[in-house]
Amino acid sequence: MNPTDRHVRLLQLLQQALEEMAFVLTDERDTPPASFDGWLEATLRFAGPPDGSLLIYAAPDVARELAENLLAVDDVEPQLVDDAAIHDALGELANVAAGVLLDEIFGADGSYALKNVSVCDASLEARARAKSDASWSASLVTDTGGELDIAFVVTP
Amino acid sequence: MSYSILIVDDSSVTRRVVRRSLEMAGLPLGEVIEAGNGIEALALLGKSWVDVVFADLNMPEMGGVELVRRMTKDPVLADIPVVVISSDRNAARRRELMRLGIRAYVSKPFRPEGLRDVVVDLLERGRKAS
Repeated sequence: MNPTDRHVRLLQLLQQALEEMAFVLTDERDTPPASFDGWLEATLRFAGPPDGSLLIYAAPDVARELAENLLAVDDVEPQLVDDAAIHDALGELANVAAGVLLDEIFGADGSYALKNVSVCDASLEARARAKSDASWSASLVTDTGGELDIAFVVTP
Repeated sequence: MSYSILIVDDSSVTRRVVRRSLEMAGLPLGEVIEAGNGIEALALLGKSWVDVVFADLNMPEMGGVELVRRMTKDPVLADIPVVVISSDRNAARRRELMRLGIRAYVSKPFRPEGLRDVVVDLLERGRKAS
C-alpha cells in the first residue's frame, strides 16, 4: 500500500471509530491549533515488537464532547462530566484508536500488547515532538469545530 | 427473566457505556454491579451472584487475565461466563483467553445490539446445556 493510500485508510478507520464509539464526526484539517490552552494528552504504550506509543492531543471542547456523548449526558446530571470523566473518555478513545490502528498496521496476528493509558495536560513541545517522531499522524476537526491530533510513534 | 451482571473496568465511563449499551439494546437487566479491577471484582463475586461478568483486560492491581485465571480455579465462580471487552484485537491473545476459559471476546468499538446478542447467545447456550 503506498503512503497516501495508507494514510487515507488509517484516517478512515480512526474516523469510523470516533463516530461509532462517540458519535463524533470529523474531517482532516491541515492547520495548526487555533489555541493550545487546556489541551489534554492521552498516551497509550504498546509492546511489540515493535514497541511504541499512540498519542492523542485534544482541545478541551473535544474531550468534553467525547465524555458527554459517551455518558449520554442529556439523560444524566451535567456534573457527571467532571475532569475525571473527561480524562476517562479521552483514555477510552486512545484505547479504541490503538486497537483499530494496530490491527490494521500489524495485522490480526501481530504480537503486540496494549498497556495502560495515561492522560495529562498537554504541552506544545510534547505535541511537536510526537508529530515529528510519528510514523503516522493526522489532525482532525470535529463538526462542531473542535480540534484533535493523533500521532503513532514506533520506538526505534 | 432478567440478568444480573458485573462490569469490571477501571474506567467509570466505560462501565457506564457497557451498562447503557445493554439497556439500549433491550437486554432485561437485574442487578448491575461494578468493579474497577480484578481484586474488587473477586470481592464482589464473593457476596453477589451474577449471570455474566464483563471484564476489561488492562486494569491496575489485577487485570482481566488474572481475574479469569482465579475465577476458573474457584469451584463456585468457575461456571460464571466471562465476556472480555477490549480494544486489543490481537488474535493470539484472543485464542489464549479462550483457552483460559473466557466465553466470548468483544472488540471495541461495539454496537449495543452486538453486545446484547453475545450475552443472549451465551446464556441461552448455558441454559440448554444445563
